[in-house]
Amino acid sequence: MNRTTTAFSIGIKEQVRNYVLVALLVVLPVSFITLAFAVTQNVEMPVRTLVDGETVTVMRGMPEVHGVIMTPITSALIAGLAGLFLMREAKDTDGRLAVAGYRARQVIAARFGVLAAITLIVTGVSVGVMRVDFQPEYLWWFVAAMLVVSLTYGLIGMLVGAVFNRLAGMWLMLILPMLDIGLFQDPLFIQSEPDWWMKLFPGYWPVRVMVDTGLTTDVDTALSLVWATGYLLLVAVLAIGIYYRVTQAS
Amino acid sequence: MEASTTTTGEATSNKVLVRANEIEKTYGSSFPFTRSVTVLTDADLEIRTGEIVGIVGANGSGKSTLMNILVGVLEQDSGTVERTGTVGWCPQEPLLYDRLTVGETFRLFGSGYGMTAEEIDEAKHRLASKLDFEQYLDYRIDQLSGGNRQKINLSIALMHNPDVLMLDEPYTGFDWETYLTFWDLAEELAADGTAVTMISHLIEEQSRLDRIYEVRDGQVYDVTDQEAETDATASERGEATDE
Repeated sequence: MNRTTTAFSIGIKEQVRNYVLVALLVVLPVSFITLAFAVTQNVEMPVRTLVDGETVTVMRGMPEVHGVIMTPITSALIAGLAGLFLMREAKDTDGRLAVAGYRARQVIAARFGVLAAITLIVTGVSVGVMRVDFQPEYLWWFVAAMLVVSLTYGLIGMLVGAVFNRLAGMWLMLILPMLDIGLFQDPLFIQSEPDWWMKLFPGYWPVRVMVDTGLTTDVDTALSLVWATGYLLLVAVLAIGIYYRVTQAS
Repeated sequence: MEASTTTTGEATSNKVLVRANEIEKTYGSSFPFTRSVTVLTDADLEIRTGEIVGIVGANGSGKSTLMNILVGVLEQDSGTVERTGTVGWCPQEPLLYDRLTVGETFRLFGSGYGMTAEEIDEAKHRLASKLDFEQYLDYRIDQLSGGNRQKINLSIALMHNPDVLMLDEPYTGFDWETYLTFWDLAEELAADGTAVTMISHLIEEQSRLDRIYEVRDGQVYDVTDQEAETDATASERGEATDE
């Protein structure tokens, strides 16, 4: 087993023993997504989305829209906290792995691999819980956007962990997805196009994809998924650079 | 002077394994209205095979900063560090992963050192037997007492039989028996050619050190002879009193 594989497999074991993370994985999807469907009044609401390349308003059931928004909030929140925890631990200890002989690329591959694995699980659980109450029109487009937004938030969690301590970081990573996905991008709250500064948040492009492929019968947001992936890559480059700097990996 | 660090080849007998020249380090802050702290201004130091070297100095004098630069976990602002051979580092605070077991910790770091599974297993049992933590091999790090965590912290630095051993107050939390075992181990390693460098606060252990560097006012002074004179003077005084 090479160094990257060893660090990755041991890193996974370490996260499995992180009971806070495991508890969040069990409790949050049920309490956020299932309850969102259960308690939301079943009335038709106007929803802004893309149809044939045009921004239009369509009428959809409020529980469906609320469910579509609460699913990425849940996933982004857990992935963000996982990224935060990973960076906080790495910041303290991964420098010692470098002294022991690990190359930067080996530790980075292992740590980011662990984050990717957690994100896959979180996305899978969130979408699975959502599907008990709601079936998106285009499941795999929806899942792709979910993965992108969750991974982006996981990496943002790492960036936050590099700058803030655990408590401040937790507050930030609890509030940020709520504000971004749950307020700025929520078509129930923002009936017109979001302001320019709301479009700078990581949820803008993925949520467009999720609203479109979850609630309408055509896929009109392929380009939005490309932009979302570009945003993810940009955050990934930043996170790798910051990780390299704070752990003194060499 | 630009900062540079090089690590080269294998150690041979009576050779300088670590050489630091004109090391400077200032801790700055990117926030306004906060001051920067200059810790090292022109620090030079050499560590040779088979020596037990002590780094002493007052609190906040820069001992740990110097060691972190020598190890390579902290970058100096300027000056050069040349290292030869493999390094084992025991930081002052145990830098270990809390949710891993002792066995997994050995596997993780052993893999970094390039050791095979058999070599890791052998090192784990040898050090567990020597430092008396065999019964804790399946315990998680966060389930260990402070002293046992420190034993693992030290063992991780030793497990690959490094050419240079850098120890930052390695015996914190050790009981007396383990403290004595630690010194036996350090002397055995030095006899086998390992350069053992440790940050020390205890006056009584300075007689065990081959060379003593004092970090003072940002510079490093070789005070070995002064310590020897002090010891001799104290000894003479003791004899005079006895008489």
